[in-house]
Amino acid sequence: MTDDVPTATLFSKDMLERIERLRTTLNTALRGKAGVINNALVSLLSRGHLLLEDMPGLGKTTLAKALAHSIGGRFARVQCTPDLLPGDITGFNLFNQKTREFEFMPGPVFADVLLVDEINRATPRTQSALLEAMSERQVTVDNTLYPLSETFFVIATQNPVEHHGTYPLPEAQLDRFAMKLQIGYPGREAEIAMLADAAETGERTNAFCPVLTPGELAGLQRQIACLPVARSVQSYLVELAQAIRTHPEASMGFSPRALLTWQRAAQAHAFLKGRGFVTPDDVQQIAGPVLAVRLPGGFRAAERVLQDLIETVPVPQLR
Amino acid sequence: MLFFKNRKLPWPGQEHRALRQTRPDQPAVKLRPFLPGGQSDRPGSAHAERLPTRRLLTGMVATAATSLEVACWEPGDSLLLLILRCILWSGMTFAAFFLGGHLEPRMRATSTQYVLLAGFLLLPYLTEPLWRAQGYGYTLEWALLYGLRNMSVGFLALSHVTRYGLLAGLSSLFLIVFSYALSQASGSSLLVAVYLTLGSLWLIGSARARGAGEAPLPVRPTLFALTAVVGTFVLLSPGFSLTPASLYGWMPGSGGTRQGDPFAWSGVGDGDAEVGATQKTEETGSAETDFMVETRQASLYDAVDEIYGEARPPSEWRRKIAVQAAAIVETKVERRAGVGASGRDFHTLRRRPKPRQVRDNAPPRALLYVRGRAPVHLRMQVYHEFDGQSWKELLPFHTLSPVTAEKDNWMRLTPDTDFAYFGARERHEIRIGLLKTNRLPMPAHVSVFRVGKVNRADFYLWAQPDILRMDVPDLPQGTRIECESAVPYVERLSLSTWDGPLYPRRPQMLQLPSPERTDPAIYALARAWTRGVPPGWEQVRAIERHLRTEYVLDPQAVPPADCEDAIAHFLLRSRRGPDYLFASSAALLLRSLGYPTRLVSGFYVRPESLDRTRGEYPVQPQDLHFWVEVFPDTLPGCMTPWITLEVTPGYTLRAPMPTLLERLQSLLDAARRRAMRFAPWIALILTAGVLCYLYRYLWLDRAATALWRLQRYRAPRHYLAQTVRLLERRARWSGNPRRPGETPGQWFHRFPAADSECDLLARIACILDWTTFAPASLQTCAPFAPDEIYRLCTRAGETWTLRRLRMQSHLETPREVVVCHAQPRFYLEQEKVCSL
Repeated sequence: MTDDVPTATLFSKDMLERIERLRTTLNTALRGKAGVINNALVSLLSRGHLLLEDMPGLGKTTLAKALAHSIGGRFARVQCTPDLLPGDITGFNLFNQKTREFEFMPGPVFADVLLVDEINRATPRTQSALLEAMSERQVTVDNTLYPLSETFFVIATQNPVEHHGTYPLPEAQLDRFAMKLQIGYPGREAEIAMLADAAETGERTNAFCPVLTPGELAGLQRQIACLPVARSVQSYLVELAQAIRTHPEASMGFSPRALLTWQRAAQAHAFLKGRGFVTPDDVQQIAGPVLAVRLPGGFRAAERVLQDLIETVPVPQLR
Repeated sequence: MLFFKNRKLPWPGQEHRALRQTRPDQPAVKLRPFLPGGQSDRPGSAHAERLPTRRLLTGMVATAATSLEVACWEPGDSLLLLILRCILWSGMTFAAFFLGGHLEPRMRATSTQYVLLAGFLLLPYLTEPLWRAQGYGYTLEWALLYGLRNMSVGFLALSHVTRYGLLAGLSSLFLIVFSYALSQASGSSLLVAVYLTLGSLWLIGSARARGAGEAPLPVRPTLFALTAVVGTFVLLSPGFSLTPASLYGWMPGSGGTRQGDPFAWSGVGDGDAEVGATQKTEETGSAETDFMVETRQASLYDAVDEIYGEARPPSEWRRKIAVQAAAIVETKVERRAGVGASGRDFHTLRRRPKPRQVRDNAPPRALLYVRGRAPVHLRMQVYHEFDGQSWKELLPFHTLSPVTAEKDNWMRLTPDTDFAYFGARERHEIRIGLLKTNRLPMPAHVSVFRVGKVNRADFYLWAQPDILRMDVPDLPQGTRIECESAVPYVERLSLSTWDGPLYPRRPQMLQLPSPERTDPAIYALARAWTRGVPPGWEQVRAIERHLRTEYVLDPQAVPPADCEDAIAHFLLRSRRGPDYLFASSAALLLRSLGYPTRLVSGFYVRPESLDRTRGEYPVQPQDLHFWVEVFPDTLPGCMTPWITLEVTPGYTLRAPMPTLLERLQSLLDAARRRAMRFAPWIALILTAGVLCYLYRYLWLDRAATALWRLQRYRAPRHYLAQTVRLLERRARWSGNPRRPGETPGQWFHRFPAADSECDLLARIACILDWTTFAPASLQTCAPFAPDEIYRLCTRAGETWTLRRLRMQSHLETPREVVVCHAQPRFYLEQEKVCSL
């Protein structure tokens, strides 16, 4: 993206207000986690998939469901177990006795938002069924290609504590996620508010009004992908990527696909800030979650690497 | 206060506003060695990480600059001045280091910097003619090294740019190598060792900073550094003493000898000397045989006649009356006579010497080459009896102590000197050049000596008292004589007159010429000069003072043809003459007062004749010299305690070698004297320096602010950039710099802003983002006008002064953070929203 973008790409007030409503909805569902929600929105708007890694009961599924309902799409959930088969996710061909033909029975992957719960409990064979779906938004079953929803969005969760009977995600799978987030415990005030809500309504509400339609979301994603990025910011991104590749803690390196993902995430972050162009601030703000999914050391390693990167790579500035 | 020590980035599970909150319990993130590869010339990268390597680089440049100062120092120059110069240039180097720290870390190499650095290199060449006009010129070698030093310091100041850092290391290496090649000081090796250690650490540090991270030490740079250290130490060891000279050969020289141009050194014009092996014993050439056939190998008498003119015999009738028949000596001068034979005279009546033909750039024609501390009086011949016209050479005694051999071919003459009366022992090395002699030219008070590998004591004979000779016709050219001697503390010795009977063993030392041949006015003059002066050294000093101050050294001045008493003519009438008349007069005057004296001829090694390239003093025929020696009452540990006196103007005596404590005391005394002399100036400079140091940031800020105000007349974009730069500088000078990698937006959040000022900073950050990163197609939608940029920038520059930032930074406890949400609001509430 260069400076000679012909069209003005600032956004309308209406669109920005709807995004704020979406943010408010998610804040209601998951209290006290504005940062996580902001990053989840960045992931959604940049057409990237999200990996949530945290302890049980912290709201991973709640966030995923709230997000799915708010954007008004179809929601599907897969609970991964070791005996889960790829066909259970992608769908399979079933022989119809009446028509004497095979009929394709679509799996949950054909939803707009797919929650893959405890993804590391599935076998590598089943995990790999998601590779094509996540990167190309299509599945191939018995040599037949089935396109997925344009706004197909995977939210996977995994438990970082339990290791027995789990299969760590391979690097190829990890690279297809845009971000890895950690929800963490809510703050004191947020927990009091959560308890008050539960006492008032009797149970946690799961009903969320859709704020966007899938079509509007797809259009928004396309516009955000065209958000202008100055040459100096792109150079900054490339220098950061090169620095990651030579960093001793980044054994996986940093792929060009990851670099593209980072730029899209920065564009989405700029949009959420209401800005029509990307700044180094956007790049830095979403660097942590983007790196966390690609570094073997997890969040702590990403924090250290990021600190090094930011201090060693000069920020572009006005001259 | 919004300044906080650690910056946290937004993270899953953290609030965005955590960016602006302080976490004092969390330690500052420790920087680890890391630099992205392939970005060798990227400006400003790893600024903080480069600090240790910059410190090492500073040490290297300071060591090289100090080494140059040591190399420039000549024996005889003020040691205090050397120390001050070393301190000055080390200080300049560290000033460059600190200046570099205050320079813009994101600086890039520009053509202006290239021109500036080239100017540093050329500056000594440009100023040298001015110095030369004042008589203080220096050779082109020094000009080159001075320029390199200037450029190294300049590189160091700009070493944020990797290229300049490397060039600083390279130029300092060149500087230390050639400083060492030119230096004769013994401390140069130590400086080279220090430099190598620092350089090795710098190489390793640089290699680690280039991406090795926490990995073990990189193999190749470490091996290279260790090899360099060990190899250089081996090369600098005594077995490789030719290393400096070999290194010097790689340096462009000024050419010529000092005879044609006093500020030129070796190079062009000394080829004959090298071919003829006249300078170094290691040099042998095809012309050596021809050289030996030539008669350039001069005896001492040749030199005497050449320098002082031929002797003029007195008229026959006067000789017959004045001199006893037995005392008549042959005055015929033998042209080819060596000085090995004794019993010859020196006539004070001589013809005017012929003017010497000196060719420009003529090869040096040195009789001897001397290493060691100068000045040195090398004894060659001793005269004792004076008949009014000629000095008679003293014959050796039978009771002279024998020479005893010690290990390593050393020969001992006397026991070790007593430090109560002598200074520290010092070594001289004398190499025979063109002089044809079998005598050993050595200074006075030699305790041990060694001639080449001659290990037999019976090879040495006494030619005269205190003059040794070898039992060969002539010493071969290139013979190396090493000796250890000490200079006595003259004032600690007692000196008394001999009023009674003549000194039983050496009556000639007090013998005066017969009254018929001496003008009695001479003795009256001696009494007049010492009237009221207590006997002893005071009287000797009085005679010496009168001669040195009231008489003029003139080698061409000879008494008229009808004059038969050269001493009386010199003392009473002409008051000018060559050095032998000074020495003869002093001897005669002192004898008339009762002090035993003798005349000594030999060579005077001038301190200013040092050949820097070889570190030795070539002794030319014109260095032939006469002086007088006086016999004190006693001098323990010395066989013949004759004390050298120097009464000739322009000649000095070597002071006793001071001990370390004495050197320190003299340094302190000299410093104190200078400080007292320039006390007002020093106080003024110190006060100004202290004030400049204390208020340095204030002055810098005023200068930067003045420059910033001028930027207002440029484009808004430029004014905005300069405003941010001004704020950055002020923050750095107040001790809270903008951190590496911190964007202006993040940085402004740390400003201790009140609510009313928060909008100002956020607005500037917004405008900065727009100006820097927004595409041209969006600039029409920019939510600000150019006038607003001028207004906001001016307000920011006047609001966030250095004083305010500094006062805020001294707060210890952070106050509640004022979270500024103004930035998004500017985008959301802008009037000119472009529709999609």
